[in-house]
Amino acid sequence: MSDDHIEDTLRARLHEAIDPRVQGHAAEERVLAAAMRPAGRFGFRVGPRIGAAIAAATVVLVVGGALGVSLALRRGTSNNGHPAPAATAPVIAPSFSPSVFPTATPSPTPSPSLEGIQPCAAGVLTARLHDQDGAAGTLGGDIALRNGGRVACTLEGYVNLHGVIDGRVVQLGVTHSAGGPLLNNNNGTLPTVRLVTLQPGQNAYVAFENSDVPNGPTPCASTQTLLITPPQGGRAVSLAGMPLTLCGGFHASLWIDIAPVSSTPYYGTGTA
Amino acid sequence: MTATIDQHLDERSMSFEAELRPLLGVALRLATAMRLERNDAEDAVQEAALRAWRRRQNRRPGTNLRPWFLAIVANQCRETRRARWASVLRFADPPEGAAALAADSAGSVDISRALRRLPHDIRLAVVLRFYLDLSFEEVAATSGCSLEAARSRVRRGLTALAATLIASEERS
Repeated sequence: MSDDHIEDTLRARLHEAIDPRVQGHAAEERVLAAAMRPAGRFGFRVGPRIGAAIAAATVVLVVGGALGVSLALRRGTSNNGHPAPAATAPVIAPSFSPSVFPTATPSPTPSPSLEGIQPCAAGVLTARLHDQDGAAGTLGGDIALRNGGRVACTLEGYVNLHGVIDGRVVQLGVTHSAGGPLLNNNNGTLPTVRLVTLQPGQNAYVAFENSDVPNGPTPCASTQTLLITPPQGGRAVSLAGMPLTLCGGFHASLWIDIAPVSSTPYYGTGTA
Repeated sequence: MTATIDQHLDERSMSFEAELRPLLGVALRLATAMRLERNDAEDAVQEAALRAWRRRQNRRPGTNLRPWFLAIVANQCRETRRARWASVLRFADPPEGAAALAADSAGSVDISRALRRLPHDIRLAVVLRFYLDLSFEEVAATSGCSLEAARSRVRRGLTALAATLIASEERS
């Protein structure tokens, strides 16, 4: 192997290994929003994970404190006036169920809610395939996400997608509006991120595009079930009975390109 | 007066944001290559952007923003360690690591492991040179070392990875 060949191979291997993990434009916007807002510029910024940890710790303290008070009240002065023993809050792992799968990818900086309307949790959402289009190896469609709750909620940005392949949950090679032939067919204008407010019973749509033709060295795989994590993270909504063959594309294996959540379907509306 | 100060700050902020925005894509790629985990990478770039904003006055006039900012990102990646709080949250993370590795080809898994084993400075030089395709001058500027040191680090990294690459080529 010559030096040039080694260098070329290294370049190819690095792209193959790293590109599927790189976040898209939405991450860039989150970085800017987090770093450039006044609290970040001039004050102490709490990172997304630390913030979540503080929130978890707060829950532990509150629950622990409440249990402690409760125990103390139940026991009266049985401890001879000594403080009640601190309760140890158990670490509760997410539970698995067929319809709601714990694939939390918390969005590092969730957008603020609109006038108190909370982001849609997976528990109130149901998913179905709204429409499908495409030919010659490139396929596309819309996934409809329905608010089955009793109050309005919001969705903003990109969902994350896992597939169930051979019984295993696999992160798909999700790209964000990478400009494939179908999603980029709207007069060259790619879909943009907008805040979508979903009233009870209303749908929002995630347009997607994938290739079922082998492309490059990565093998294709088929999935019957998609796990859709809402943009703000948390659990995922299951969409079963949706056969998809996913091949490589845009430097990603198991490539699937998605548009941001939209209030209108992309396919079947004359835009594609 | 307050309005004037606010307006001035807003203008400076927008100007800095406009300079920074085109670099975020390459910064995320660098951080992902260094951390090999997408949430860690985004955290690192966020912190780096914040540091860059705070240190923007330290940048010499005329200095190219790209290597200056990428150097901050690289330092942030080195300093980022999984703290106790982060490990508390690990159980809630998606099965991304294992699943992504399972989805990768054997070659990319090998190179990821080999990269992890490299010392930070060598890994940074390899990533800058062969993943971001920077010139040796830019590798040196971003790494904060001389041109000769940059060449030496790239060479050492290539030597260290060569065995892995040859083995993966032979398999395929």
